[in-house]
Amino acid sequence: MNTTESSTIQLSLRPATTENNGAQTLAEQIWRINAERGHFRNVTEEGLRREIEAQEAGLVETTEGNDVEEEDKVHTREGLAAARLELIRYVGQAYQEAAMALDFISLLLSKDAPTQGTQSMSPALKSLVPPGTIHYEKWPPTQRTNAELRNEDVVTKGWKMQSLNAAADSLLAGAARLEKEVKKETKYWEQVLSLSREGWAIRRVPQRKNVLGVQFGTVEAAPRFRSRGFSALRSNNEGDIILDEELTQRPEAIRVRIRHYDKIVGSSRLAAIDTTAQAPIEELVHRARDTLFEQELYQEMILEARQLHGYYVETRDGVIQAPIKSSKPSNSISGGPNEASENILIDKIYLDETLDEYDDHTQDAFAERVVLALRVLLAHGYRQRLHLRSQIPPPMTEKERKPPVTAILRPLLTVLQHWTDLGLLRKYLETTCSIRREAGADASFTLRAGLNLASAESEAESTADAVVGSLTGPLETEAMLRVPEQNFKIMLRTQMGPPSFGSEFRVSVVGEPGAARRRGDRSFENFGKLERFLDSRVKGASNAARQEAEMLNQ
Amino acid sequence: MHELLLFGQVPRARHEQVLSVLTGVAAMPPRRDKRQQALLAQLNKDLYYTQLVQTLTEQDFRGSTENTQSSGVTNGGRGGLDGGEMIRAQGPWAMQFNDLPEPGDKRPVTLRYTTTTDVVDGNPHEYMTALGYSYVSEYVLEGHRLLHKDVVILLHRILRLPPGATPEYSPRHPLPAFEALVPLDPSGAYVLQACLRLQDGTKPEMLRKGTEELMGLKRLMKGVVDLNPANRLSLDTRVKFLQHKVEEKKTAQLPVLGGI
Repeated sequence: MNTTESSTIQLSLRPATTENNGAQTLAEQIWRINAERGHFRNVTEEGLRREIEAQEAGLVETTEGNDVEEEDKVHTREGLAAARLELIRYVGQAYQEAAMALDFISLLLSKDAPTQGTQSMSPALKSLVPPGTIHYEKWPPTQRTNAELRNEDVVTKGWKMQSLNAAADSLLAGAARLEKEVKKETKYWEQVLSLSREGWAIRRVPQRKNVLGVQFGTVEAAPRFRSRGFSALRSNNEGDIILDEELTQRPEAIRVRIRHYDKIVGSSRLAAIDTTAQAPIEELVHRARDTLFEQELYQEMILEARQLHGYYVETRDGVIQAPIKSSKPSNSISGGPNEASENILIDKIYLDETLDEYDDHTQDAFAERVVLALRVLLAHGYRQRLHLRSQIPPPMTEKERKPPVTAILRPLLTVLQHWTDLGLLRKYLETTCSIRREAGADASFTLRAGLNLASAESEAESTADAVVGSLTGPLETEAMLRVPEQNFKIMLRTQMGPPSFGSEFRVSVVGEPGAARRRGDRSFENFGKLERFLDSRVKGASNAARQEAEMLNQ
Repeated sequence: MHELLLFGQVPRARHEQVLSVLTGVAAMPPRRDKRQQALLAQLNKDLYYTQLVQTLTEQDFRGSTENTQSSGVTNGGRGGLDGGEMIRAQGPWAMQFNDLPEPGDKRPVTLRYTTTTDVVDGNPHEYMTALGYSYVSEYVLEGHRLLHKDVVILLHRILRLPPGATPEYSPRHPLPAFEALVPLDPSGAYVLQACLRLQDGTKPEMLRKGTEELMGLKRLMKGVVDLNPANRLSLDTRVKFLQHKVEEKKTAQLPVLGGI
């Protein structure tokens, strides 16, 4: 049988019940034998033997005789088995349906006659549905009128229309939403584009995709200001850019005032801003940039002011005070801000603040120049930082390299000091010469200011860098006083640091091979001493000349 | 002084892109860097190579003078040092010695001892010759330099003198036209070298700090350029075999030594 089975595919796909006899359990086998041969009582060894013999004889006969016949026989056997199985399946199905019908009827009955009903109910149904939960009633069959039918028709149409309307509405809503989205996006991108067109650097926020940001601070700013120089541009539901804290903070600015004794005589101009209306985004970014710059400027100046106590720079209540002019006219500053007749006051104020009025505006232009210089110096500081960063650093050591303090107040002080001393020197030279001329003696002077400013030309740096850079160094002025007897060369050098820590006057006598050469150069740390020295020398020289003339006359 | 190094390869086609990325990372414009490096070895001793390094300008290349006339200032003020055909004084030289990298497989960066001595004045080649060194070969390094914190980033390639132009005894001056130089790598690929210099590389704390900073750059450049330590023996600076050169030199007349 196995050989014939393997010869056709059709057989091998037959239900497995006829094949794997060995895998069947004893109960199944018994059931099968019962099904095939009836009760065990009828099955005897002899009978089986005979049957097997007859089968073998028959098989041999058929295999030797005709293959087709054998196949037919197998077909018939298999067909029989299949038919039997099918029959069993149908019976099973019928049984199922009958059981379900029974269950249904039982459940229906259980409402009116609970005892009988529940008796015939299957346990599965009992567990699923509580008995008596279904009921039937007899209703007379209704004849639907034409009106009813029409009504139904109308209702159907109405429903259809309603559904169609709803579909149209949702489509329209979708369109409206899309339109809104487009408008929102357009608005957002217009604002971003206008920023971009104004030259602001727009870039993606690192680590966060789909968010753009604007860079308005410089990368050379100090670390705590550098991170604040970037703001994300997110949009709200209307497409307006949500303003970061950085963009909406109150605008601040540095204010420089000039105080003459107790009176304010000048103040730098402040940018006028309109805080009542909502400003466009470009304006806000601009303001944020300015505010950040001013804040850093202030911070740097506060830091620098701590190093400049020696020059009477003081910080009180957030106001940096630096003396300009001393109350003693002939001397350079020596007594600090209280003695100084004029002080520069630098503070940081909110631009939307209402400010105290002051009457005297005589020094407004000067204050404006000072605040401008401060800003230029910080910008120069940025460039210096980039320059420093571009140099190959020294090898790493255990010591942390600290960034140098940006020179902002120091150059300002240097210039102011130099300027004051230069004014005094010029006035003295003018007075001396005019007096001598009036007295009939000859005298003249030349003055060349800012010697090192002109010479500071570097190959690598731009002209602007060179000019501002030379401000941060010492300032030099050369003056030449010519009286007939002697020529005095006066070098004025101002440096707020070693070696002079202020102004230094160096006087040398040229053109006379006499006493001056023996004494060499004389140096004075303030103008008062220089004045006394020059007075005595010039007077001495003219006295000597007069005596000489008198002697000649005699 | 010690150096911590990482290397990466940049194909020629990606050179521009990588340079732009580096410019962004370093937040500064890249600086053009050209150097002439002459390789010298001490005669009769089985020691190390020493290099003479000179920073070059466009004017150092012959044939490029016409185009660069307008660039103005040259340091020609120091010309006439040696007279003769040297029209323009050469830029400052430096003597550079790089040791064989320190062994150690676990180290994520290459560590080597290095020393550079700037030559302020005089003829460094004559000085080296007097010390017993002899000229072996030379090449030109061309690329861009940037700085990221303490890391010196050098995106460069090595150019060799055109065949037949290699001098026998001394570094060549003036150099042939820049366009005539032949890249060592025929594909024209660039090398990205990230270098962090340590005052004292024997201190573990400094080594750790430096390595961390360099690894930070490596992480930053991930996906752009793969930075890895170099194979130790590929940076070998030991003189391998110079016997033939020695014999050759003995027969040839040695150049006149400077008064050292």
